[in-house]
Amino acid sequence: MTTTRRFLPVLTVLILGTVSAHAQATRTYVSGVGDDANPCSRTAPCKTFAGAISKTSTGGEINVLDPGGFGAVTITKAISIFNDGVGEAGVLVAGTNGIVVAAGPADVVNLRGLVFNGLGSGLSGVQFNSGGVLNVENCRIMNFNGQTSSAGISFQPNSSSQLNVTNTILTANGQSAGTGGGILIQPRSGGGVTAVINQVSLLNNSAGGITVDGTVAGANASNVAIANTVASDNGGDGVLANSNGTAVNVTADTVTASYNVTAGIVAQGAGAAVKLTRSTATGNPLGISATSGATLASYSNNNINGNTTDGSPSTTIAAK
Amino acid sequence: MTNTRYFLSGLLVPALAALFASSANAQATRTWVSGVGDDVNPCSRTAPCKTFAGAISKTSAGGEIDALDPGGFGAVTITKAISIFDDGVGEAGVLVSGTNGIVVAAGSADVVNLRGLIIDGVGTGLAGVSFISGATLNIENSRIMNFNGNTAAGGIAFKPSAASQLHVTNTIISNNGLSGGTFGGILIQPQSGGEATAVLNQVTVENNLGTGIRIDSTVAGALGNNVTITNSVSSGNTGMGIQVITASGVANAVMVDTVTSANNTTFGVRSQVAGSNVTLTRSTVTGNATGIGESGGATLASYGNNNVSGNGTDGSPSTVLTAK
Repeated sequence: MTTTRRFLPVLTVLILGTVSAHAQATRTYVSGVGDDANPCSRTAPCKTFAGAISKTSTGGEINVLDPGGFGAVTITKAISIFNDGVGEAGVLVAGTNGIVVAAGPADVVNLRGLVFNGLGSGLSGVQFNSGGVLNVENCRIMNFNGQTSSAGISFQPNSSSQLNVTNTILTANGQSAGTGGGILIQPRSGGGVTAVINQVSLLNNSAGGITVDGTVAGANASNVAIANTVASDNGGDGVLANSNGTAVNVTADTVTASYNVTAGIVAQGAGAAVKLTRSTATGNPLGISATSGATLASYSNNNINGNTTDGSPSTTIAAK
Repeated sequence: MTNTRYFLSGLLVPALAALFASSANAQATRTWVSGVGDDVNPCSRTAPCKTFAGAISKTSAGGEIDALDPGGFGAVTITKAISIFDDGVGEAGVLVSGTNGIVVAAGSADVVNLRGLIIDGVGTGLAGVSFISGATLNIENSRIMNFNGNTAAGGIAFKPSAASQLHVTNTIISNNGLSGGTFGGILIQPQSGGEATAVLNQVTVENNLGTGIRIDSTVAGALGNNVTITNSVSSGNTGMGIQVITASGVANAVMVDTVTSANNTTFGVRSQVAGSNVTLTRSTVTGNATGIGESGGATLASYGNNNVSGNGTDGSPSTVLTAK
């Protein structure tokens, strides 16, 4: 009897554990009329991303079956959340982050086709704290203005992490004179960044368009390539590389920075190095600038005119 | 009897007040429209509305109206911050005859976003999007066509009376305007006290009757325009591809960067009247009656990297800038 008593609970735990693990699917579905009590299958979809993620195996996909508001979610493992053109896949939040990524150092997270709306009080659309790689594509992120560091995408890793943003529009994020804005890349202690921002529009954000900031104590290098991107009508700088000694390398290729409230493209502080090619800065109070020991190197093929002060590169590079 | 009447009407007033209160409370941050919806519904996911006009009063300021499935959702006048989004669910149509498609008459701090809409004037519509007031209008992934109702008809008429922003991204504007009219595709024309800042990116403006893109500071009291056009095409229009015109002295600063202006009936890119300053870079101007030109003391500056050939008369920039 004593033996049986001890044996049964162990068996029960084992069985439950096994069932729960098996219940995770490599592909799950959410629907605007789903129910999180469902298994998130194609025929019995879930209602929210948060409800689906626990039923999705590591490395699997959560797919959007039809339009809906699918709510905030915190991601702690490798996962893909995909809406491939089925209609609005919304994450609408007030006072909080939209999607938080707090995953393992080798985890890849993919976000595709999502619309984030912070309703003015949201903190950040995507808040990345840890993970291996974050890919954001075909998304729309707006109205995250809840705090001074609010941004459309706030990428603040604590280890070596990659960010790739493609074909995404970010508008009206951040606070006036805030540290965020459209995209904030700001490695924390022990964190380093490799990022590519391609075909992205940063419009009418209240702080900067794209800010790459290496000033947090213990941060490692950031290497960021920006291409085919427009940063206009933002409340701070269109593109800012900011450092106090840590390497912050930003290449801006085919970037338009216009009508930003402070400057177009800026390298600020020792360690900040911007390379500028085939880009345009116009209609800003200051077009391009390198200050406080930073460098802004040009391939001599940029269009810098129509700013109150156009500015000049600190050095030039010969194309090969 | 009289007493009862007074009593009843006395009851009615609080009852009405309660109705209005619940109506205000009923505004949602996200509402839905469906091709098979009904405007008596609350515009929820499971009980969607039928039209944008029906949904907007049930949507809170700063919220979203989302298309649930394909449909024709009708004309709407926007007077607050709002987003009307179709993110690829199929046609989200605004099909009108004789009127404007979407009118934006919002407050001075309001941001309005339009995404994924097909706005069709079926030959008699006035303007696809008529902007009168608001802080910022963002239009993306949309298609605007067939607004030909009068000589002031066109695709987007942006006419602010304060400092306002227009951003158009990944949008096609075709077959708008009326021959001999003041514009065809996009008109940016601030009114008295108005100043426009605009970015047109990945925009195709084609086969409009009249001018493709007209940037105009000629209205008395207008404070000017700052416009960037990039990665865009203006072609096959019966007027100019891009026209920048001002009344003497009012600033029109226009950057034309990586733009193709082809096969337009008159000019490819024209800068008119002192105060108009156009910068042309990495662009191609071909197949127009005249390629590029400035007049009346305006400037048309080139970075010396444009392809201007194959026009009846190619023309020349008024000045050449050095890249940095």
